[in-house]
Amino acid sequence: MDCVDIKETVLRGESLSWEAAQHVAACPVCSLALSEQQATASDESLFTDIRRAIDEERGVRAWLRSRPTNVRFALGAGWALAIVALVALLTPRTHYAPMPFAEVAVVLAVLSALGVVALRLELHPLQAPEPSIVAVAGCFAAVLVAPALLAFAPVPQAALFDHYTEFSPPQAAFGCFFIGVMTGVLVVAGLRALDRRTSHSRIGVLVQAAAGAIAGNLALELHCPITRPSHIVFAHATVSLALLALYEFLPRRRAA
Amino acid sequence: MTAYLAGDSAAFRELFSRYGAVLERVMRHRLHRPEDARDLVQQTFLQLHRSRHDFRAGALLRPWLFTIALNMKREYFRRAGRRPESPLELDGHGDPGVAPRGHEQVEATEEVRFALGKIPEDQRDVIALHWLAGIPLPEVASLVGASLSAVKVRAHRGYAAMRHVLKGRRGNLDEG
Repeated sequence: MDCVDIKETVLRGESLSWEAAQHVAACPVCSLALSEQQATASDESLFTDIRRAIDEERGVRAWLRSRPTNVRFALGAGWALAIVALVALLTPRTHYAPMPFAEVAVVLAVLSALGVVALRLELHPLQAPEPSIVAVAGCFAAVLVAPALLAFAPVPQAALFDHYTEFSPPQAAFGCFFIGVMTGVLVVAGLRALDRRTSHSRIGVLVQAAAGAIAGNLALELHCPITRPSHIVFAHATVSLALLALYEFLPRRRAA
Repeated sequence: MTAYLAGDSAAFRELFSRYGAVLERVMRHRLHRPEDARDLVQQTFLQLHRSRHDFRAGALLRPWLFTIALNMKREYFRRAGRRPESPLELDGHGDPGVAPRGHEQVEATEEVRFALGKIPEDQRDVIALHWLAGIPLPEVASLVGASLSAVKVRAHRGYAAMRHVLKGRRGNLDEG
């Protein structure tokens, strides 16, 4: 009989055997467990503080984050898709070149699958075991790498588009980068309204940057006609790094 | 919990009475300052409130609540960027929320926290839930996300390590 068995016996409400009593008498851990005072009675001031914090849970944000998790997921996905659709409607790709539908469909499918993963990680309920750091880091790495890899996917001749005539390559790159980052910022703002966490750890920031970057790249896939791989790698894929800098490093520098 | 979901505010008081003290006890074994433990307990109940519509009638609340508490604790340490400190101070002193305790109980609590602070983190979590919170091992396993056999191994090793620490500490005190 050891400490684990003795504790399990006590938890079952059974009385201790002679052998168990002998162990308790000789074991510093078990004898300590019996002599240590039980937890204090409920702390009234703590209850008052908790009650006050709950009473302050009012407004739209409180309502949003108290929704069931599947509803929050649907709202988050709907918000992200709405922002992406808005960008696509305001600055459509087809204005400059025919859209290679098959290639765009593949890119949208890959990014959407990553988006579902990121959304699940971002809105996962706290009463469930936490996602592992490996899963989170893997998601972010996939978001960083996927647009870069997809940049080298084959494109039909008719849809090839190297550069604008009215903008220089750096101007075009900056324009896409700006649209991607702003799309990501808007999406993350919506996801934060649904997030139940009080503040954001580094893991939370990584997931948010990933979710925002996916939305940004989805919008860019529907907006940007340029099929040159270097443009996609440097103007689209870097959106995730920019969002990570925005949400992780800038607040830390400001706090310092 | 079902009553609370139905709008019975007195039910929340009952929830706090049932779980508040034991949650605070579990939190305190990892944290140096009692006010940090109280803050985490407060955040745990706030998260319980926010998550209330996820709760299914008939489900067990304790695993739910303690999973939230463990996640809040991990979040706390990540935000703070620090490891759990060794709790060297006596418990209960200077804390207005804790009734004055006998010297023996204070010493016993201090020994508990000292011994817990010396064992690996995964063993410490299991023993805190099993010993301090009084949660059976099968439920502890689901809370920490490990198999029952793994949790049993951690518990056995943790208790053995604590016995070794306490024997060594008491031996040093006797020599002193």
